Order: sequence, then structure tokens, then C-alpha cells
Amino acid sequence: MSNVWIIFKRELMSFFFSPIAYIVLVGILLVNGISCVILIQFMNDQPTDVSVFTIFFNSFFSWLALIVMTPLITMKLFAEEKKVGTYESLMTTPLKNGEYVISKFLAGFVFYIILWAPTAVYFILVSMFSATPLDQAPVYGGFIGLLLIGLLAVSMGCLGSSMTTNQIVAAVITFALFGGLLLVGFLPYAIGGKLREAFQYFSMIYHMEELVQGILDWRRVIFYISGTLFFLFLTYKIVESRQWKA
Amino acid sequence: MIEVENLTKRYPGVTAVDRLSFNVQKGEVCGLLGANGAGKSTTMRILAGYIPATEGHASVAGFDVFKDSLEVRRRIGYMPENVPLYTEMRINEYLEFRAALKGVPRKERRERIEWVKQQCGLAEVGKKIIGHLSKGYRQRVGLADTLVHDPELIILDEPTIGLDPNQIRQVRELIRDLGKHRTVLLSTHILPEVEMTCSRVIIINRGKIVASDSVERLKQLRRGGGETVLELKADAGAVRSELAAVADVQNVEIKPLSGGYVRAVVFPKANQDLREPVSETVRRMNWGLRELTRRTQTLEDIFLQLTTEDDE
Ligand SMILES: Nc1ncnc2c1ncn2[C@@H]1O[C@H](COP(=O)(O)OP(=O)(O)OP(=O)(O)O)[C@@H](O)[C@H]1O
Ligand SMILES: [Mg+2]
Repeated sequence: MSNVWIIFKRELMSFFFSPIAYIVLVGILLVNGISCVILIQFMNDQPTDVSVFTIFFNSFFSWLALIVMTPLITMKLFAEEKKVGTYESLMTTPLKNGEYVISKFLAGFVFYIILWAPTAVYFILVSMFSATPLDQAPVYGGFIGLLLIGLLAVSMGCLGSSMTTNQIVAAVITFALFGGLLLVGFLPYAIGGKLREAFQYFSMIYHMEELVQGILDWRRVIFYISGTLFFLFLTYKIVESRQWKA
Repeated sequence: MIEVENLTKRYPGVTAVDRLSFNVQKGEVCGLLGANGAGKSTTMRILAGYIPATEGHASVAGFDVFKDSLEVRRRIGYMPENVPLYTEMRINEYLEFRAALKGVPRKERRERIEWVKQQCGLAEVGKKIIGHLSKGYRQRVGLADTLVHDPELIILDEPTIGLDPNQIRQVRELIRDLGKHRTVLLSTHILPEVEMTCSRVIIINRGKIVASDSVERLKQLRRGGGETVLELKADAGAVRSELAAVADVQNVEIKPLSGGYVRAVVFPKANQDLREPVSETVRRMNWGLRELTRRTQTLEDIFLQLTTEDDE
């Protein structure tokens, strides 16, 4: 377990030395900032009962930030080390494959949280200048959603990154996985009946809609956790494949 | 310390390591010598538990490198080819990180790191960022890393490649020092390196062992040969009989050349230098002489001979 902490620490530190990470940080701040400004403007023009945040978390902008930025931060996790060769010097120490995967994942996830944390500032600002007291539920719900989606997205990123030594390829794989799931998420809005409910189970957009209304359904939590475990398991298998006999 | 038996590693289309068998005893400094693509790195990667062999067995300190990979990895210090490092870290940070990963107890870490830095000539530069270091210093960081947990076996893949002569000398000295208390397996394609640092050498070619011997024995081989070669304008029969009569001569080979010249190769009985007695004879007989040299077989020759034999 201490190995996890050792690798995690180094990995998290290394994000702060990578220019991409800063670009992503600025990118997310910009996209969310613009999103906030537009929403507030919009609400000023036509006041509604709906909270700003209800719209914010499920806006085009926040999904854009998720789908573009997450692959950019996870792409280096495994691919870079394999390319540079530090993977070889790591894997010839008493480090277990599982410890390696977990620490990489945790580092990616914590950095994901760091990326989204400044967004909280917007909420503080909005609530300070809002005329009426704000409903807190959408804010908590939205952030819980972001965390759950983050788990899944980062685990997809781990898989993408472990499959190649090329970071661009890693980002594209992650983008495709996450984008694919996001697209499936539109299906419940397009079809009805029994299938609709089935697709709701996979729809990140639908989940977010629930969450920002303050509904926390345990089936959703299970969906994200099991999805995360699934992708981490595949990543583990890829890391382990190094030791498979041909 | 190392036992390798019928080790084979096949990649699609190439057999990188082909039924390799050898042992390395505790306390030996053993060199794996071979040209590019001979299979040195592949062998070391298998021993370090990084990749599995296709067939055969290998064990380090009694542990199977495949089944007890973690136990093996705890006992070795392995420096991969080209010394991969985290360039954004400082030397101290990196060694701290590696020491922790290799299970050096927190209390001992500081002291261990100071010691390896001292050993590897890094005492003054611990705060430098690895990415800003010269190749030679990176190599030292790599070496310091292999030592930091005081392993029983040190495996170094081409430890002096890309260094300037001065750095090469320093690294070799360091390896020799290490060899006094530990077992070392290093790979190289430079012969003098083996001579200077190793007690034993295993020459591999295309994944197979072509020679395995103590460096002393190989050095003796190097002194072997020592035949004198002459080109003379004289009668072949006379040359043969006169030269064969010179003291310490084992035998004489004669080959006629164009223009009345003959080429004579005079083999000594026991490696003696025959140039003087032979030239004495030549002068006495008044033969026309256009060449007189002594052939010495270098370790290079042996190496080339061993590694190119089956290339045709
Ligand atoms: N991952 C791999 N996939 C396919 N072939 C490989 C792989 N690694 C090595 N080989 C092949 O195996 C053979 C032995 O390679 P190896 O790296 O062990 O040689 P080496 O003795 O270390 O050479 P060098 O002096 O160039 O480092 C080569 O023919 C090489 O092309
Ligand atoms: Mg090599």
C-alpha cells in the first residue's frame, strides 16, 4: 500500500511540470467562465425558476470541458512512461502491477478534482451576488455528478493510455470511449418504452439531470463505480500482459 | 547467484535469446559481451523480471525470475539501457523516490542516499534537476539508483555507452569497486571494458553463447599466436629449410607469390618473438626482404572470429 502512495505522489507532482496540464486548467476555467457568464446573462434576460446550476452542469460547455480536457490529462499516465522507458525501471522494483494501476488512476483522479475545483469559485460569486437565496441541492448534486463522471472518465483514460506509447493515440482512444458513452446518453431522449429505461441506465446526461434536481439514485453510483472498476481491470490486464508468456 | 538454463526468448520473426545457459557465482563481475542485437538486453530484462522468457529457466539468488519475480526484484539493482529517468525531478528527490519504492526504511534513507551519492560522485549536485544533467551524470544517477537499496546483484545494461573517455574511466572504476563486495552482471560491446572491469566474460552472438571464460584466460589467448610473417625474394625450399632451423621455431608455412617472392609464416613454439633470429637468417642468406612483421591476435580478433563465424 505504501507503494501506491509513493507512486501517486510522484505522479501527481509530475502533472505540475507538464505544460499540457496548465493548458487544460486554463481551458476548463475559460470554458466554465464563459458558460457561467452566458447563463447569468440569459437568466437576467428571462428570469426562470430553474437554478443557474441546474443548467450549468448539464450545459453544452461542461460536457465539452469533460470530453476534451479529461483525455488530455490522462493521456500521459501510462503512455509517457512506456515511451521514455521509466516504466522498465519501475517494473523491475518490487512494485506490483495492481499498485501501479491504482496509483496512476488516483493521481489522474485527484488532478481531475484539482482542475474542477476552481469552478467552485463561480458558485461562491454567484451566490454572493444573487438577489434570492440559492438552492444548494443542484450545486451538491452537480459536483457529485462531476466526481462520479470523473472516476469513470479517468479510468477510461487509464485504459487508453495503457494501450499505447503514443499520447495522442491515448487521448483519441479515451475521447472515443467517453464520447461513445455520451452519445448513448442521448438515446433515452429519442426512444420510448422499456428501452428508454435501459438507456437511462447508461445516460450520463440523464444522470446529471437527476443529480442537479437533488436526486441521488444509488443505481447511478453503482453504475459509475462498476464502470470504473471495469476499465481499471482492463488496464490492469494490459499492464500485466507484459509478463504473459508468449 | 544467477543460474540460467536453456533460456530462450522469441519475438515474432526473431529468436532474441537462444537456449542460453550460464551461471554467475556470488562475488563475480561478469560481462555479457556481444554485438548489437546479440540479445544482451533481452537476457538482462528477463533476469530483472521485466519480461518472461519463452522457454527455459532463470533464477537469481535461488528465486525463479518468473514465479518469484517480486523476490528477485527485491534483490537486484537493475539499470536499463539508456538509463531512463524522470527528468523533472531533482537528484535527491529521485533517489528518495527510488529508495522508498525499493523498501529502504525511512530512517535509513537519508544515510543510504548520502552514501550512494558519495560513491557515484554526486555528493555536490544533489539539488540539480535531472533534465539539466549531462549524459555522464545521468549515468551516475542511474548507478546510484541501482545501489541505493544495497542489492545482492547489480545488473547494468551498457553502463558506459555514450560517455566521454574520462567518464568511462570513472564509471569503470566504480564498477570495479562495486565488484569487490557484490555480484555484478554488465553488458557491453566494448572489449577493453570487459578486460578492465570483469573477472569473467560471456560472449554471445545471435542469442547463443559462443565463449564463456575468465578474462585471464582470454587475455592469454590474446597473447597467443605471435607468428612472424615475411615476404622474401628467394627459393621456397631454401627458405623452408633455413627458417625451420632457427631456434624456437615450431613450423614454417610457405606460399609462393608472383615476381619470385615467397610468403613465409614462421610459428614459434611458445609465443616467442622470432623477429630477430629470423631477420638474422635473412641477412645471412642475403635474401631480398620486403616485409617482416609479427602477428598478434587481439581479443578483438578472437571476438570477431567468434561472432562472425556463422555469419556467412
Ligand atoms: N520488443 C521486441 N520486439 C521484437 N524484437 C525485439 C524486441 N526486443 C528486442 N528484439 C530483437 O531481439 C534481438 C536482440 O535484441 P537485444 O536488445 O537483446 O540486443 P542487444 O544485445 O541488447 O543489442 P544492443 O547492443 O543493440 O543493445 C534483436 O534482433 C532485436 O531486434
Ligand atoms: Mg541492448
